[in-house]
Amino acid sequence: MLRLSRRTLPQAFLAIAGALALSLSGSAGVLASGGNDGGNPSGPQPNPTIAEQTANFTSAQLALYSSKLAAVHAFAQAKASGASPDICVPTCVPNYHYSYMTVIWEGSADCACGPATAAETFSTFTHYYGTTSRSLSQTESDMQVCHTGCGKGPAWYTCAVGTYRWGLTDELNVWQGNNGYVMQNIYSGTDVYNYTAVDVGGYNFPVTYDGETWGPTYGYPLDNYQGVNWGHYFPAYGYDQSGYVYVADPHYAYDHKYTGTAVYEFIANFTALSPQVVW
Amino acid sequence: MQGARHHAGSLVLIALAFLAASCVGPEASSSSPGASPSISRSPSAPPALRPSDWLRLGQVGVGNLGCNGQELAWTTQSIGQAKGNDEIEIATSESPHPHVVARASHGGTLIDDVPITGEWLVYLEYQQKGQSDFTNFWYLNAVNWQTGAVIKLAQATSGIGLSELPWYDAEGGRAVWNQVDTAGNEVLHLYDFEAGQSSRLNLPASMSPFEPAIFGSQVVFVDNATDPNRAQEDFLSRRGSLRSLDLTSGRVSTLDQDPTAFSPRVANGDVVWTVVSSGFKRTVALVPVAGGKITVVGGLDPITPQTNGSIVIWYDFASLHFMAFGVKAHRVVQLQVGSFPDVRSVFALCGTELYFALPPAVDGGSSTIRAVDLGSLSIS
Repeated sequence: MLRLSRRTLPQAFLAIAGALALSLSGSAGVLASGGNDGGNPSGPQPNPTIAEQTANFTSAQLALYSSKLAAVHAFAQAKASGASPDICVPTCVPNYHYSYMTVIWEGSADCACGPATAAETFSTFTHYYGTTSRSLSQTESDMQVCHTGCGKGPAWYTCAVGTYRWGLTDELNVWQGNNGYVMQNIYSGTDVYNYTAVDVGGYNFPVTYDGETWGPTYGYPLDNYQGVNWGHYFPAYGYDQSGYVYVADPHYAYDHKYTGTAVYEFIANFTALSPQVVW
Repeated sequence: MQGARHHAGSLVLIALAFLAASCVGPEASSSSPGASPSISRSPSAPPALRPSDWLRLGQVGVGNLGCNGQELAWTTQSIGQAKGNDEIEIATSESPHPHVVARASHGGTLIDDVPITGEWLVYLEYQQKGQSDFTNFWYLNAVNWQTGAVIKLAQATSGIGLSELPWYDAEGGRAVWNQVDTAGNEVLHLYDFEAGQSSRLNLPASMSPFEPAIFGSQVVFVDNATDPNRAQEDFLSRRGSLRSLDLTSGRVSTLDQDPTAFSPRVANGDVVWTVVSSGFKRTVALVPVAGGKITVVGGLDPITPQTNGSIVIWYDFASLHFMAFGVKAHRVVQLQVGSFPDVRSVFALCGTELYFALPPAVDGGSSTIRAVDLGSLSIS
């Protein structure tokens, strides 16, 4: 159980330059061996570096990205040290928080968890930031083309193939500018929890996950997807002090909680990209 | 399995984008008629059980385990290789020298159930369409694990049949499965291996049967027609009332009217399943296959319970342990199997032997099928 004593983190900003430089220098992920991954789009996966992903960011978005990285670092350090991880960047990250999010069922066609995840995410921005709302049919339509940085890349979403991770990232950046979304590498369930806590708790920015419900290395990590190998997307709107993140699953059309570890394993089951959250 | 949660006093403001708000999660069901009080009170101190390595499989993942008392079968997929290499292997429980009985032949996955009856093993190959709950194809086959002969039980390669995967079971020389017909209705089919004949089971047209399980002349299934949320459910999230069909008399009985049942299994005269009780909490329940008093077994966060008629066992996502319920002793215990902090795994209860395979990620990078004898548990 985490207890928070609020404090600001001026030191966090000292780390901005270094963190950003480190992050921009590396790829967002390295293509894993494994290739065709069943439910998720097979073939070449757009896997841009952080520098490529942030090329069109505004200076405010770049600064915010750096602040968030610093906050995750500080949050993780505080937790690891046993200290109360109260992080203010400048909005404080409480020990639990549940943002507003509209649950959107994929629908009878039910081939649209990526666009549904985008529409759910936009509902949060509309609620807190007054940005334009986007319905499922609108995000489905949006994502059938590639907006930025993709050259002759694939459509970001088709019913037959599914949704590309960068396609979702791109879509989220087209219709709101409060957060500059990137495909952010993660390495553990703790990372899933920490990154989610900073975005959701600090800013009411949803975080999205995509992966597979079964893989040979991690098995079936999600309690409500036992016995099936499915590629899937869903966004997180909350987290608690016990290590759980809360998602609005467009497949079941309701909210559910998973441990950060379960979500990490779900993400890592999709081996065509390195484990990442859209953050 | 779909325990929706509401957070009292929290800032969660989940709202549905469509009018059918009830599909956020079913309302808590009332207690099942005849249910005994929950006995999932604080489980006893976990007995320490020492598993043995039954078979080391190497760098593969195990998708499922199945057994019939003498043989054990499992599905595998190699780690770090392109998909399409899924295999099904089988070995006798006394002599773990496996041989491959089936391979993915259409580029799909084989990770689903592998029930065995006599010398026949039933398996499913399928491929998801995009990231939907539709499929590009599925094939339900039976293979004679002694001769290698294959029988095609059912398949879908186009049309409405692609909208769901079948649930299936096999026992007593027969296989049973659910399938959507060309008119969009859910129906049950049965295949008799001795007669070599397939038939559609006769059920009232008002029923929407799925997740069949078979034991002797009894076919147990979930009737989705009673689920008030069915308009917003796909095949993975269905629930309904628990019913049985007597293949001899053709009589249909209701084992539990509660419309939140799912994942039934039947063995040695008992049916176990999962039900969503008050507060969206998942609970294991038990009833004789012939009908009668329902026992609400309990469980903190159970999934996929199995029984051998004297013990009910499940993995519990809250406790991270196997939990066992003694049918006669009416007692739940939390099992400490080996020293694994989290024993989440695929498993099969074969007589009193529990076989399980942990994910390689928590088992040194490779898979091992382990066995532990539950016969000595004081609850059995």
